[in-house]
Amino acid sequence: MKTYTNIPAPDKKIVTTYRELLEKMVDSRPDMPLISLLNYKTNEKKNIMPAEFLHSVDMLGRWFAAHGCKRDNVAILADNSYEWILTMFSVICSDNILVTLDKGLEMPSLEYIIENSDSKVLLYSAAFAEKAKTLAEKYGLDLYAIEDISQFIAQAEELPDNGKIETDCDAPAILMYTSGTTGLPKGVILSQKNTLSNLQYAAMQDDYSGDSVYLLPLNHIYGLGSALLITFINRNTVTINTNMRYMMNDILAGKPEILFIVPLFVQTLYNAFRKFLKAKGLADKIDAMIAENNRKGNVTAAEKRAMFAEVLTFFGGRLSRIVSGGAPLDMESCNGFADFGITVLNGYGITECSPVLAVNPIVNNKPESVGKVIKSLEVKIENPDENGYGEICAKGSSIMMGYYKNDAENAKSLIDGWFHTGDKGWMDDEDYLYICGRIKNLIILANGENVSPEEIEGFIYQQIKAVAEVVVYDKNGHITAQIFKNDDYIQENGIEDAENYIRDAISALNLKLAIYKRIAEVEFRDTPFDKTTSKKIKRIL
Amino acid sequence: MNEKLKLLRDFMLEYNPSVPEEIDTSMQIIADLGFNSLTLIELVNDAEDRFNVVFEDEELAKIQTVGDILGMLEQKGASF
Repeated sequence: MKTYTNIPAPDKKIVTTYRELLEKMVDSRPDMPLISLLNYKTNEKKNIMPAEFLHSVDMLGRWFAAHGCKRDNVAILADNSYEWILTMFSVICSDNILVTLDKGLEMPSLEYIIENSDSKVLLYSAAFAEKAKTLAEKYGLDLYAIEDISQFIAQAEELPDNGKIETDCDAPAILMYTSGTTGLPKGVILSQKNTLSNLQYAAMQDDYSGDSVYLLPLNHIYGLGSALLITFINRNTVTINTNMRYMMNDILAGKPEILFIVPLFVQTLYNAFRKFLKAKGLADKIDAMIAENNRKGNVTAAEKRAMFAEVLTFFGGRLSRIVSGGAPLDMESCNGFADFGITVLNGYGITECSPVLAVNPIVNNKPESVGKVIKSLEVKIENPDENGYGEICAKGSSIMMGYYKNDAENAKSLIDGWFHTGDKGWMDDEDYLYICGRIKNLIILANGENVSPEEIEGFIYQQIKAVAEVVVYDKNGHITAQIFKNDDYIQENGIEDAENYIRDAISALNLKLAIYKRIAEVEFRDTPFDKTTSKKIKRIL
Repeated sequence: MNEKLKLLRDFMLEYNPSVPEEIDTSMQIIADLGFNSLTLIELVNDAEDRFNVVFEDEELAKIQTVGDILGMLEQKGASF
């Protein structure tokens, strides 16, 4: 077993700024749509061409400059939309820093991030108007509705042209908050070069090209980086889903050749497909064909896709690869897709690595691994045990610049240029990585969301005084709170059925939490938790 | 459990086998019944056909509990 790999970057020029990337799109694929959007009411498609997009990026950038934005932190709290993508490119290309806000976050976390990030401007979409106004008043932000962007562009077209705005590819460009193990989110600073080098090298790993449908929230690095930018880098068209309700409409209209999604989507799409086959009365016939293919053993993926072409129109008819990342892959749906000739490629990324660390190639795909370490990165397994299991650490051009205003975390995570991922893993002789646990205390959900148990425990301690001690943990994919009751408080306040009282309080708390952070199960214990010598709860249950 | 609630429970079971035998209107669909954001969307989309109603996009965000979805179905004159 290996504990170190250093796969050199190919001798190929890469682009290092977002504007350069767009200029390349304009030159190399002027007539191919960059972005496609489906009107869910009329079912009409609108295509955005590269030159049109670059013009809008420049104009919106000019508008930001005219409003005094220069190296300012510009936050965005919005649903997926074309305007979101336009804002991202414009903020970065006009030499400002994009602060991405998770739209599912509860108010206290949003307030913390806005304050911690020193944001000056906030762009929001209609659904978040109320939250945005509250934030703007409290923190003195300039507030703009993303729906008004076309007006801003029109205004900018009337402004004098002061030439192209130059940006430094090594300067901070994106500030993205990730769950911290202390309960407070940490701002990951990424430069343009961080993300662009990472994704260009990841794109060279194998053929991940093809038209795609974007299904993930834009504020997530995996979605933003991989699903969006890799499609741009590979010179294909990406159809943007702006409402999860119409996911299948986008898939049918966008006819993806490749999808970049999280395991929850892999599973949901596969289940929906099986349900469709059942409803059509085809399940038995198809299962028999699959069994026959498995018996033969030498049927290629392309032959399977041809054999099942009629039913694969469920996914638009062109899908051949799915890249899955953000959480452990469900092998049942992975194998299920393989039966139809659709290869699921497991990968591994982390915001701090901009994000891809490893991804499986199509040939020699090892789905139980998270793939081969991408070119340009050095990866080592630190302090391996007798099995070769240790902490995965990475070094290279895509490692973050650091955590924003967080020297303590920087000192812990970045040591001699090595980023310590907090994930435990091992590496085989062919540079494939395998994840076998976590050193950091985070819950990773199937949708790729990382949840800090300490953050949720903090909310419980603040709001439910009848709880003396609590440990939040992942129980078979469900966020579970194990509680030791505060008998003194319960007696003093004459609470009769303490367990019901606490359950009700947890339900009330859930309503205030982001959906993915909600506590699904409550357990009670009769004794306090074991403690360390420094009186911290030992989290092993 | 009344008849409508029972029918809704059976319908939910098609999307999530972990829905318990007995449900009540105060239960949260995600936190208590184990749905996720995607299976909830699938449930609501298919409920339109099953119960012959239309859910507006804005209404989807308001559905948190069993009572929310049941109330909306009743209000829309769903054919149970």
